[in-house]
Amino acid sequence: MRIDELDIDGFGLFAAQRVGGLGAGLNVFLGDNEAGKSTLLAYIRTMLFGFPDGRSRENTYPPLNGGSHGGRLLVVTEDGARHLIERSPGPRGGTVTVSGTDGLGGPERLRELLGTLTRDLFRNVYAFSLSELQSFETLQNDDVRAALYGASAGASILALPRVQKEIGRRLDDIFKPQGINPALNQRLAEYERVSRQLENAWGTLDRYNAIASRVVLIDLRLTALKGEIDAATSTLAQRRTILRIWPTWQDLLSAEQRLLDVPPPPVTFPEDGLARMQALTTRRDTLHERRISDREAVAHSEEAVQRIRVDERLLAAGEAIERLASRPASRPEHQKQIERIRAELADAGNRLAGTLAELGDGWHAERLRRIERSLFTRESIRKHESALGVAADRVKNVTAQLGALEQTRAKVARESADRLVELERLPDPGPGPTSEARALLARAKDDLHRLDSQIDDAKRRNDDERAGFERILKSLGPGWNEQRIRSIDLSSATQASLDELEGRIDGAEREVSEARRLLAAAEARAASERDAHAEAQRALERAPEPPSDPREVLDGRRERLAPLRRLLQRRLQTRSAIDGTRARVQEVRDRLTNGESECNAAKAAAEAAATRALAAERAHREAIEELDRLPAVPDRSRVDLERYAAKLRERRRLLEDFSRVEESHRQQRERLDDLDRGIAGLADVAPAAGSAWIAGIGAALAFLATGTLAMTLAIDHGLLHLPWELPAETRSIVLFSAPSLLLLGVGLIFFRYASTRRVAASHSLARPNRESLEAQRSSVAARASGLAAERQTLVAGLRAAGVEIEGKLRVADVDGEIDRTQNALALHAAHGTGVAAERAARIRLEDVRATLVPLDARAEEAARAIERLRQLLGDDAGHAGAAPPSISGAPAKPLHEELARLEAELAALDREIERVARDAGLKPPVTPEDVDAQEASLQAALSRLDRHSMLAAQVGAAERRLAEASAPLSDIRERAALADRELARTRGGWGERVAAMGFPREVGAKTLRSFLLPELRSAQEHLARLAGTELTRSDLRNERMTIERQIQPLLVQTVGKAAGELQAAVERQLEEWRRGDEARSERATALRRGEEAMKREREAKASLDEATATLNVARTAHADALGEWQGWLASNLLPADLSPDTALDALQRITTGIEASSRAERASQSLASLEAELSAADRECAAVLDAIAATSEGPLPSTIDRLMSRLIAARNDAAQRSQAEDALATARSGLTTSTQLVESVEAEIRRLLDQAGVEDKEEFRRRGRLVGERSALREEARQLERTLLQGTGAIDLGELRGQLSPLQRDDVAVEVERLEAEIAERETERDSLFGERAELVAEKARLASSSEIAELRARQEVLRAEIGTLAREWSRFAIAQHLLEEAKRRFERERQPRVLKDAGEYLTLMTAGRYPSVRATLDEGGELEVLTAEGSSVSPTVLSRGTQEQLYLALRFGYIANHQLNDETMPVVMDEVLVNFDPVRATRAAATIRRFAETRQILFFTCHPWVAQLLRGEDSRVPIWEVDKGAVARDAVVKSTPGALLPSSGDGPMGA
Amino acid sequence: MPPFSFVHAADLHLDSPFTGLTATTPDLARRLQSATFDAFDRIVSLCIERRARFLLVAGDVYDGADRSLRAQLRFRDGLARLASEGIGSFVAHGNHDALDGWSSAIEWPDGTTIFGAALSTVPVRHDGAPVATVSGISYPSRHEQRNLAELFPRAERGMARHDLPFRIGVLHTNCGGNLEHYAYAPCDVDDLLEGAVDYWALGHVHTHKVLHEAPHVMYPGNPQGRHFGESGPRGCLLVAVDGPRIATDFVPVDAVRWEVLDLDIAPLETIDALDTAILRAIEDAVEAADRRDLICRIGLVGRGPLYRDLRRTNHVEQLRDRAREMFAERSHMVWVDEIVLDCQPEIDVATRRRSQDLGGEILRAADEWRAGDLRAAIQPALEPLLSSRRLEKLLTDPDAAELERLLGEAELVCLDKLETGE
Repeated sequence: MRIDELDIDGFGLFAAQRVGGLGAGLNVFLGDNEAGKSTLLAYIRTMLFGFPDGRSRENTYPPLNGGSHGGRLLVVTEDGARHLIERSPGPRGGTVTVSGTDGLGGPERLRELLGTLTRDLFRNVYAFSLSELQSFETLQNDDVRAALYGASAGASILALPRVQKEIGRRLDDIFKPQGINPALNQRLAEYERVSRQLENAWGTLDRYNAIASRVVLIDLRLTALKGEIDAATSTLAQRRTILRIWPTWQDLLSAEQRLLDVPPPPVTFPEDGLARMQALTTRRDTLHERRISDREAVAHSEEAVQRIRVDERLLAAGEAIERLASRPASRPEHQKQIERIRAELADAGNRLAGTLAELGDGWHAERLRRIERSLFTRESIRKHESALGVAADRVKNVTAQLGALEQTRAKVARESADRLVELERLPDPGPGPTSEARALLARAKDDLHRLDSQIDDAKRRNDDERAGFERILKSLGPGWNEQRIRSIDLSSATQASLDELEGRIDGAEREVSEARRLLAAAEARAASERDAHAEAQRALERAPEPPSDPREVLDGRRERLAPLRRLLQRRLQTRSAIDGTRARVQEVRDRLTNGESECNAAKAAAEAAATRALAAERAHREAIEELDRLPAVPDRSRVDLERYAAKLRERRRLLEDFSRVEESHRQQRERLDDLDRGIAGLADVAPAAGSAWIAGIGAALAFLATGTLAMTLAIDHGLLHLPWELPAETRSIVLFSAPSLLLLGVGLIFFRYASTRRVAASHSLARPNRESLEAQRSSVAARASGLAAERQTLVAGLRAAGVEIEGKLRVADVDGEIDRTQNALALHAAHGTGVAAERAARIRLEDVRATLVPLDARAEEAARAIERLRQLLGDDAGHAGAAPPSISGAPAKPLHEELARLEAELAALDREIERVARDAGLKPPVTPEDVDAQEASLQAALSRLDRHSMLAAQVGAAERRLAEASAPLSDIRERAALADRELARTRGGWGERVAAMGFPREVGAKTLRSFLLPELRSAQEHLARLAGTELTRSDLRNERMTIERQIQPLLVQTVGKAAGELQAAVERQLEEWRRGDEARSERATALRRGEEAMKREREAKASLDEATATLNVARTAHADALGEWQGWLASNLLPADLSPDTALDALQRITTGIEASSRAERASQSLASLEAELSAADRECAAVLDAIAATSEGPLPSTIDRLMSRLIAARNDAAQRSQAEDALATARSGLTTSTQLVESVEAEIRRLLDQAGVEDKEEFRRRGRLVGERSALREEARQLERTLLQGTGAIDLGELRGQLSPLQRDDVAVEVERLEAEIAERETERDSLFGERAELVAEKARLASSSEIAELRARQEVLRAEIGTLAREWSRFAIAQHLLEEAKRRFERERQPRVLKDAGEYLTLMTAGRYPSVRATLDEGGELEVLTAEGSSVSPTVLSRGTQEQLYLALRFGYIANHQLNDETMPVVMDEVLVNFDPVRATRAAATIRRFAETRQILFFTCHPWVAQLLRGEDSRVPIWEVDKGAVARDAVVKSTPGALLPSSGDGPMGA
Repeated sequence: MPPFSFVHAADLHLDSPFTGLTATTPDLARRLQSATFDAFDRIVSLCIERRARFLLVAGDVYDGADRSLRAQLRFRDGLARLASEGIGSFVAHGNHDALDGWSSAIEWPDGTTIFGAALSTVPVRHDGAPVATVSGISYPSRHEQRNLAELFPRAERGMARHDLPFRIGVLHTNCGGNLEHYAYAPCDVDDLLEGAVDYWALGHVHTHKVLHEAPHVMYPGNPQGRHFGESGPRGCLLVAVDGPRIATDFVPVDAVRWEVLDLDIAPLETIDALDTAILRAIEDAVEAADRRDLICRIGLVGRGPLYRDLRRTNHVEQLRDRAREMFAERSHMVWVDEIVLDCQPEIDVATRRRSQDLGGEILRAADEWRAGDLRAAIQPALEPLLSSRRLEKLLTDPDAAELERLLGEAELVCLDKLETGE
């Protein structure tokens, strides 16, 4: 790409500056300081890469001499396409457009053109000034550095050191062999920790099995313990119960003793006698008190009745008084009402008089009533009022409207006059032009405008083309004219033949350079291979001596080390297995010893238990024998016997009671007989024999009955022995009839006694004696009957006691029976004791046996355990074949066997190790360390061997490579010569062809292709376009003439021919027409407005007339309404001059008057009726007062009130008195009742005393206490028995007594203590076993459910995976690192960047070989090195400033030469870069630049004419542009320069 | 002979740890620890639900010779559950749980047959008449190298089999030389076909395989996958025997499903699209896992524009964490273990290889290594890792393929880093 033209609108000094036709090669811009050279440089940068960022401090070169900021750059690409780059300021570097033959584009298009060229790269490498050149930093910019060093290595080369560091860091982060913190090291440490934990965790499984067997043992022992404790507990409970009930037992015995000590009461005593007596006494006292209070109540009531007096007269007048009180006149309000109505009457009269006065004379109540004052009257008044109002309003409204209309009409008339005046003022413009004329002129205006600009344009283009052609002509130099240019054949055929020729030359040149390159390469390679070979040879010589043994021997030894290591490992394992097994053997032996001692202990315990069992057995046997020795146990059970003995004792007591009763009964009977006889003697004195007879029958009956009863009882109880058996029925009949007879008898006796009393009354003489006798007799009879009853009770008791004894019952018999029974019981007790002893012995025996069984089992278990252990040991040859089966069925090898096997294995291993060790060149005994050492030494030997053979191989390879490198040299040299010849031949052909075309023979292909041919082609194109433009221009002129002719008639003024004039005339005419149009339209508007005003005036007048007519109509209507009203007033008797309002008011007053008159009438009627009532009541009151003989006091109502009060008091008195009388009656009846009750209670007390057969209460109480004491003792004994039964849970008291009788409390207490101790001991053991068991079971469960192992293994796996991943990542990075190093090494060795190579060449040129090459390392910083001719490397910083600048220039050339961007060579711009060079180097640099400019465009800015001269050299075609104060002109005259400024001497410029 | 059915399972590997997961959460660890047990429970439930006559377990009940106590107890509980339903069990031990391993004092429930080191045959009766015989043998020790199939009775040719009991052989063997598994008790299908057996219930190969039909030679595979190498459905076989007809039905019982989901990044332009694709892939896998817990690993493969982004940033971790988050609330666990970058950049390696820059040099150097002794070229780089004694038992020396893979990745690392300058 090259820059063809700079078209500056405004940029710094420059304004509207166009610099066109820049040369394709070197262009020198010469100008003084501040002439604008740097501005031009900046302009090019800006056009291509945009305005500097507003934030940067870079100069943006705002336009100083006008013009808009920015401009255009015309560039031509390699393919000849032209692109116009236009830029103006704006965001992001400004607005840019790129237009070309292939259309319009924006920044993207520009980027395409620039390829990978960046702003920095362009600034620092392609378009640079001295300041950039002087600063090495400009080459250190990232882009630039990358470009410089990486042109061939790729940009990436720069990142290499960073990348290596980064990878190194990553590697260290992941893993370091001795590290702790890197991720993999951490994981590894954790993995090892987890593995150790896991190892420990596996140990827990043995523990599980141990626990399981221990739990079984514990369970066995626990079962045994439970039996022991249960038995002991049961016995203990029994013994404790005995201890607990012991006091009760003692109490019982004592109670029974005391009962025997208390004497029985002599006679019967009523049941609950004492309590009943007490209750009756209390009741009697209470009743007595009640009687006294009743008496007091009666006296009190009588007094109350006496006290109350009653007014009977007043009571009689009661009804009359009540009637009077109910009359209205008796109320005080009555009088007040009369007064109020009188006031009302007066008020109404006043109101009426007032109203009449208001209405005026001639008005009275009668007249008022005649006036019609209905609702309709009022309505019609209001109607009239409204009609009158409406009519008056209308008249008023119409009048007002009339005034407004009048005003409107006056205003409209004024306006109309104004409009007429205004119209008069506007002049008449006359008629306008036709529409055709208008259209024609308008079109002509546009056409003229267009044509004029086109003509201008065509002229400018014509000039441009001409100028272009002239320029080319000039650039072609003298000897060229239009004719000659036209005659040159530039057809494609010519082009093709030239291209073909050029291609051939290029081919030949390429071949030459290729051949030379190949030759250089081959020679370099041969040299380097020679060096390599020598190096390899030296290395081989330097390398340590290889071992004497051949590799196979060493490998063999080393291979044997692995099995040896394995063997050693196995040996170690086996050794540890042996140790383990031995430990196990020891453990088993220990266990065996323990087991044996346990077994012995168990056996000893078992033997001791057996001895105890024998003793217990003996004791038991003795107990049985003892039992056997006892006489036979009676048939009846002990319980029966006890019960029987108790019954017997009861029977004996009953019998004693019976005989006593019998005896006293007999005595009483005898006494009765005596008494009867006494009475009979007295009865003889009595006259009434009948009554004696009756008594006789009664006595006989009584005797018979008594006798029968006694006999029957005697028979029943065996007291009498009859020869026959009485049937049961007969006996019961007798038993039932006997009391009846007895009653009958007693009744008859009583009858007799009653008659006797009556007789005695008349025979007072015999009375005292007889009375005494009879009293005695009745007392005796009562006692006899009491005895009979008691006897009956006894008999019933005997029967209840089940006495069934044949023959006559004697107490002695019963006693005998009791003795016998006691004997039997004693036998029972003895037996019981024996049985208990036997049972105790048996329990003890069983206890002993029970301990014996587990002990045996334990011994046996221990023996079995020993047996198992022995089997495990393999000690016992007899059991060797029967190994204990494991669960899975595989036989477990006895340990000894295992041990033997392991030892044999160890020995075999030792032998094997010895053998292998010898093979491996080691002297036994061997340790793993020996193996390691051996391996290390072998490894070292092998690596020495490897190194030696590798070096030897390398020497061989180097030799081979040297031969390979040297072989093709001669071929390549031949090829180079051939190529040179071919090139010369081709170049000759080219000269001929060019000459044939009319060019100088020496014109080169490049010059022809890139300069002459394009210029010629361009010139021909210019000529062709020039012809076309001329044609266009004449066409345009003709067209303009036509238009001018057409419009001439329309123009008022005649005008000249000038382009502007005609257009101005047309425009003026058009303006004239427009003004005429405006005046016409204004006049029409004024006319229309005048007409409108007149029309409005006419309308106002019409409205006014209409309003006047309406007013007249309204006035007539008002007069009509007034007439009607006056007529209505007359017809309603009202004065004719009233207004409707006044009429309504009068009507209101009339109504008020009428209402007042009516009220007065009503009031006088009410007054009359009230006064009549008052006088009637007065009369009635007087009558009542007479009746009760009282006088009137004060007004009537208060009199009546007093009467009523008195009446109520009298009635209260009467009621109280009747109440008092009732109370008196009640009190009297209560007194009667309480008296009766007292009497009945006293009778009851007497009856009780009689029953007890005592005279007084004291005796009664004494006897009662005795009876109570006995029954309390009996009750206590019974209670104690119950307590005993409850306390022991026994059912049979007799058995219990039997058990308790032989016991001593202290013995029992001692046994309890022993049992408690025993139980506590067992329980302690049991508890500890339970505790142990619970712990074991919990541990077992924990072990069973433990997920520890699973968790650890899972963790282990995660870690393993993580380690794997990390290791893989590490490996990836490690290999990457390795690969990078390898690539870098190769690259540094083989591919020094081409940029640097070329830079070296340029530097050689500029420094005349002082510094032949430039190098850069690939390390960080990418240090540059310059090699001196002597071959030493020098850092650029130590070079002189001039040399540094040459180096940097060379580097830039090197880069540019190697950097084809998008196949485009970019133009290079340099600003004053040669000033610091010495003359020789400046000349050489200038030559280099010229040579460089052959392939690309170079714009060189300088202020030194000598520099310009130097650059131009011999080639006058190098254009020199003069820059001066914002203007650029071509072909500045280079002034001859003073010698001082020119390089003084030295070599001439070095041409290409 | 009445129709009956039985369940054939193998390689329970109870309580064995899961391998290859690079991270766990407590919840995940808990589920994984119970997964082998859960799968076994499902087998037991299957037997009960489908009214199987008995259960066959063809070896490797436990994972190690140590036989985790927990595993033994859980196994016993399962068999006891079967026994309580009147379902018998036949268990042979294999290389992982050979008879010489530790075992605790465990009593096996009634109806359990544990085959010993010698071949034994047990009849299965129905109403007193034998309907089937089950023969089996356990490994006495781990390294069983004999051909145990030869110990089974030989078939007698031409004998009519009508109404004779159905014969089952239970054996833990590497049949047909499966190279993925250790060659314990090796045998060939022909060895088995010579045996007087109608159904060979085999164990050892962890993938369900039908080696032959009539007579049947079947591997049910393991019922629970334990690493990404054992992905996809895992289960046992439900076998129905009705006279001469034998129908086998593979029933998945795994509690946790493992899946490796490969995703081609070629068509994906943005990280968003990749995220969506990942989530969709997981969603599909969840669907396919049929309400099981799922552990998946996403492999990004292919060449695509996303490669650079993925390599240079921690997008992969973010995507993984996001995926974990997205599926965290599922009723069944979904665990995304890793997203593995197996993809390549879009660069044309062949062109790069020809280029004269450092990148080209790297590729050419690697090629030369490949052409020569790759191990010798790479070994020095890996020396610090491989020579570590502590790592010896954890890492195996990379094989040739692995070295090749590592080198390929290293090339990409170099190119990538050089290009980004990081």
